[in-house]
Amino acid sequence: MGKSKVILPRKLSVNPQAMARAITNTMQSTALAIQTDFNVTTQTWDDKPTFAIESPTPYTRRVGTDDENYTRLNAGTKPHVIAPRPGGTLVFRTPFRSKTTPRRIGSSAGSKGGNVVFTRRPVHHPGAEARDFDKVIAEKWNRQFAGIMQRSIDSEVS
Amino acid sequence: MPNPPAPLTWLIARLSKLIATATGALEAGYPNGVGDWQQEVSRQLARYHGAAMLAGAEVDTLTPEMTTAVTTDLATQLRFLDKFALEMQDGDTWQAGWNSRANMYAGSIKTPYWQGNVDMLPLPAMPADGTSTCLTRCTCMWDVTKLAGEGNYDCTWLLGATDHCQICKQRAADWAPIRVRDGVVQ
Repeated sequence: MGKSKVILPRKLSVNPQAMARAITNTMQSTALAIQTDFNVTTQTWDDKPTFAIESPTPYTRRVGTDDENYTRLNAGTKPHVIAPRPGGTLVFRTPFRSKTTPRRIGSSAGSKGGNVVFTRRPVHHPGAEARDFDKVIAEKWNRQFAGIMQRSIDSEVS
Repeated sequence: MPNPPAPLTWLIARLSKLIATATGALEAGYPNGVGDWQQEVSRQLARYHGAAMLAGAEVDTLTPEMTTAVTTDLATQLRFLDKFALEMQDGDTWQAGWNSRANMYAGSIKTPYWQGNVDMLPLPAMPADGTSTCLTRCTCMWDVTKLAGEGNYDCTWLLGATDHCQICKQRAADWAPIRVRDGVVQ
């Protein structure tokens, strides 16, 4: 988390309940915004992962998913070989166009490709470049955090 | 889809005209006059940010908290304006996109308008606050329903009538509504 500067009115600093509410609202509002941005990255997917907001402590929020495909895409994969089962055939389509782009909060139509390929030989998969959705979303909302906190504080004293 | 509120449309149209006039004058004398242009646009942004907050909240005077909110939004816009002015100062020929870029600053007053309109509620984002891909072109709105009891609201992000970006579409789906109960965002 980066450095943030907010203006804390005196009438809030002497009211612990209002102060607690301001912090809770800051955390929850930021978590909601982050959750929505994660949903944007899968908006065009057929099987959309669920992004949950957890509250391990009253003043902590954790936004994430346990979806394996999403986690893998987010972190990226190394080039690897895909081999057919013994005696089997690999079937895939080309040219594939991904629905997502590294470090971009968004998703497009993409394409599975129109040509169906059948092969009995192993193929070399180039891997997937890390999308770093978590990093780019965290960077975005770190920059907004002070503003959201200020809104929460102002809301308590207005 | 609902139309934008008339007072906001009126304020944006007026500010847009003032910025266009200042930018037209700058274009005529460019590369001279960038400092004067920046000063004029800053002055108008300050006036209209305050006016937008008043119009949104439907009040005659800004509370200290409203002033803080306006100042925070204005500071963000002035930082962007500073970068823009530097870019202009570094150039030697007028760029075709500068007029429309300058005009986008008029849209930035949507943020204080909605902040005032939603009773200063601590919601995750405001239309045109720069957190959606459409930036100040955002035409979305908050629809806030006050419920019985103290601090109870249902807050729905509504899409504007014009094109909207992926982030705004998602907000309309996810924030429908955001519930605030006893003053706490759920």
